[in-house]
Amino acid sequence: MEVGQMQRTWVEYMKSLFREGFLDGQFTQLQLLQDESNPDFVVEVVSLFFEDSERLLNDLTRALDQQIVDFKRVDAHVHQFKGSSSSIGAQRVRNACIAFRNFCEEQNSEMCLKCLQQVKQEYNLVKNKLENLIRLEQQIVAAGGSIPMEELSF
Amino acid sequence: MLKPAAPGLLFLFLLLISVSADDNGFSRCNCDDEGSLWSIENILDCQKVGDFLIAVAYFSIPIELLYFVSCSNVPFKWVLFEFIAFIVLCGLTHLLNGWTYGPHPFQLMVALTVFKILTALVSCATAITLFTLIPLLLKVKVREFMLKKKAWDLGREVGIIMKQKEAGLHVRMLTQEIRKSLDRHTILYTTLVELSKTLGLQNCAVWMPNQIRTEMNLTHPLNEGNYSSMDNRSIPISDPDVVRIKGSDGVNILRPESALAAASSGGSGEPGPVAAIRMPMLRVCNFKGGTPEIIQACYAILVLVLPGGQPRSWTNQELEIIKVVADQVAVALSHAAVLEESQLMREKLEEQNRALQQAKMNAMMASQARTAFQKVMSDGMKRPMHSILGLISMIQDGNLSTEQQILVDAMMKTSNVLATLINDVMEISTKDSGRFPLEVRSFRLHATIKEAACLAKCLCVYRGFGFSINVDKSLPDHVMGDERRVFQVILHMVGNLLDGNNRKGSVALRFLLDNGSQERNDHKWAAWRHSTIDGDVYIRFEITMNNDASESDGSSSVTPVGARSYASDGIDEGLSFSVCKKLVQLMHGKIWAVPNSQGFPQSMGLILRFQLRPSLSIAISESGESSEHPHSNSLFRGLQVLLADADDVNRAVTRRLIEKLGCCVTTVSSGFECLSIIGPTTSTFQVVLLDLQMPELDGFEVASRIRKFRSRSWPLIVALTASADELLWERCSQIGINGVIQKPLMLQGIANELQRVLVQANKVI
Repeated sequence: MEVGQMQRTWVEYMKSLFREGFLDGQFTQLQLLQDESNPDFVVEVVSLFFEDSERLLNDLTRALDQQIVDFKRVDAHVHQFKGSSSSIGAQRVRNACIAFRNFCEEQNSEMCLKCLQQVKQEYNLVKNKLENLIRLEQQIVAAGGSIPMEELSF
Repeated sequence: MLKPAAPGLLFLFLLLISVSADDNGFSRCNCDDEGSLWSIENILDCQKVGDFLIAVAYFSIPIELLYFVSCSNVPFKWVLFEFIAFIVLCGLTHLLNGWTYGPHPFQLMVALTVFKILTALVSCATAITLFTLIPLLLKVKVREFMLKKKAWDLGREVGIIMKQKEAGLHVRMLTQEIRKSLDRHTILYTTLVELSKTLGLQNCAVWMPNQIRTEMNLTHPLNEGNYSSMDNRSIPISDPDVVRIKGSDGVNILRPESALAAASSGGSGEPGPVAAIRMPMLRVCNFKGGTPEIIQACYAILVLVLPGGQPRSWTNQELEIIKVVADQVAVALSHAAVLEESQLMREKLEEQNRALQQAKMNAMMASQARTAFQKVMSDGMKRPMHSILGLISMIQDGNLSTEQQILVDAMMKTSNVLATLINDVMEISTKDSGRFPLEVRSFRLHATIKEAACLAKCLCVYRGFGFSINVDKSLPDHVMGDERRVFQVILHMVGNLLDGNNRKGSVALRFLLDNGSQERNDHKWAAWRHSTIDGDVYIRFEITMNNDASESDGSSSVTPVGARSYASDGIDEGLSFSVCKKLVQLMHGKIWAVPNSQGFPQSMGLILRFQLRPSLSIAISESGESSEHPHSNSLFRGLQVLLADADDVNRAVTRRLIEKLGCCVTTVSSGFECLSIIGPTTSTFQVVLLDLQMPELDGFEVASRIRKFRSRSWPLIVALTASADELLWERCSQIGINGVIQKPLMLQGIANELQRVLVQANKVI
């Protein structure tokens, strides 16, 4: 594929992500922060996000598997997850986390489990999308092109 | 039953005799004496009567015997029955014999013969059995004798036991009496009284050893008696009787001529036998750990005197009683001793307690008086100070020319210094800690120098000294430090120098930038220099006094204000100099004084370290309130920021954002790390960004700790939080947090808040 086509694919993909609500304005901010001094900023942040999220989701699963669920701990984990997902701009994950927190306050363990499933689902979706995005970007860069950030203004 | 029959039978036999007395026709023998009393008829009659009487007796005896046998329990009954048979048969024989004196039939003769033969048989049998019987009877006798002896012995022993029981009762009663009280004298007196009552003594006395153990003194006599001389009352301890009594365990009987006996006997009459026994005097200190040690026991002697004139002497029972009683008394006395000592202890403790209470009251009153005095003093000193400050601030607001402005500023500064000094003095005297909190803020060095120079010039002119000043052009203007303290130190140095010199001269002030061009001999100083962080300046301040060649000793035109008497050797370091030294050390500086020939300070030097502060004020005045470019690099460039956030993603993002603004960011991932990095008192960070929601140590805790333990206004703290609580802002400002930024973080938001916080910080100074 040649560079221009790849760039067009990339723009379409990004727009679709924004349209479907997977990402929001925060992600744009992140992209704006990337410049010559930090060329891989977004990739770094996204990988950090993946690592943290895996860990957090494991902790959450273990915490909710206990006989007596410690809702405070669960709430703390969800709060952290919400924070990191909102700073990366993962909108749907963040919304799922907000719902999760409400059920944590009510101490409703079955609804919490449901929410956990929801969060995991959303996370997997957004992870998938982001990985595709990064792969596209790497292909563009490898082919010698540049990421067309300016076409994203909408 | 048979007894009433006996007289009947007797009467019957008498009848028989009278009936048979009529028979006098048969042949007789010629064995009589004719014509006298003993005629043949008389003889025969007498014989008849005799026989019958014998028969009667012979019949009555068995009857009695039978009666007795049946009534009582007699051994050898069969022998008695033999005797009865023998007697009955004999009786019958004699009875039948009575009828043979007259004509008698043949049957009578046969019966008589039969009975005689039977009698002979029985009597022989009896004789034989009697022969075997007598030893038995003798044995019985012997046994009876032994039993009697045994009964006598038993009786004696029972007597002894009874006596012992009696003695035991006595002793128990005595002991009870003795142990009723815990007072030593009561115990002894009770002993004496009860013993004399029980044993019936004439006198009873206790001899105690004196303090130095050389003599025994008669301390408790029962009957005083009349003592002829007083020296009967003490006996040397080496008296043989005394030694003997002390050495032995039991009761000793004293000879009547022994001194002890004579002295104890009490007045009236010849004393009886005297007994004495030792009583151990146990003290509390002997009982270490419960049982008394084998130490040189101290003994008292109990002497008992029997009444004379009676043939009485000491029985064993009485001696036993005495021994037991003496032991009991010893025990009771030791109890009493314990009680006495504990009472003594308690009294001593009470007294000490009273004294302590009194001392406490005195101390409290003294401290109250001191506090009251301090309050009065501080009020008295602070009130005029505050009014002066108020007045000066009013003057400051008015329209003044530049010179006047400088003067008024100098006045303000000086009054501030004075107020600080007063506060210090008040606080030192109350806290006695001598700690000065340094308020590190940014101030303008040039202005401070100007004011100090102005003031110094005023003072010199007033004193009649010349004045010159030399300021290095390259001195920075914006530095971080405690302005009031710096001013105080400089003022002190000036004052010190001026006070010490009465003669004419001129004062030279110099402010230099110290770049290490001078040599330092102090190794510690060199070490300090090496460990400095970039961004610090060392300002050197020197003040020297140059005296004129013409020395006019004698009167000086002005009397020095507050002149202190300097010791001839070395420079007298008054309180203010040591205070300055402490301050200078806190500010990581150095102060010294070079004395002249008289010991007055000739020149004084001061080196202080300040942190450079970026010139914020210039940018502020240029940019004004709001700026179009959020990335006003001139504002943020070089700003040292510390970021504390527990979440990795957030931390990375925020770090990048702040770097975009142009600041230098250091990141930590927990509250503890944040606190430890801010560790040294002068921190290198100007702004600290804290995430409020950190595990273990959250942002509030970190902020309050920084404000409490570091300085009150530096570094600036800005909180990052996700919650939109209105009360949050209040809580933050209560703790001392300067600003709050809402998450999610945007570049614009961060820039705005930081700008606001920095502007506000600059306005404060």
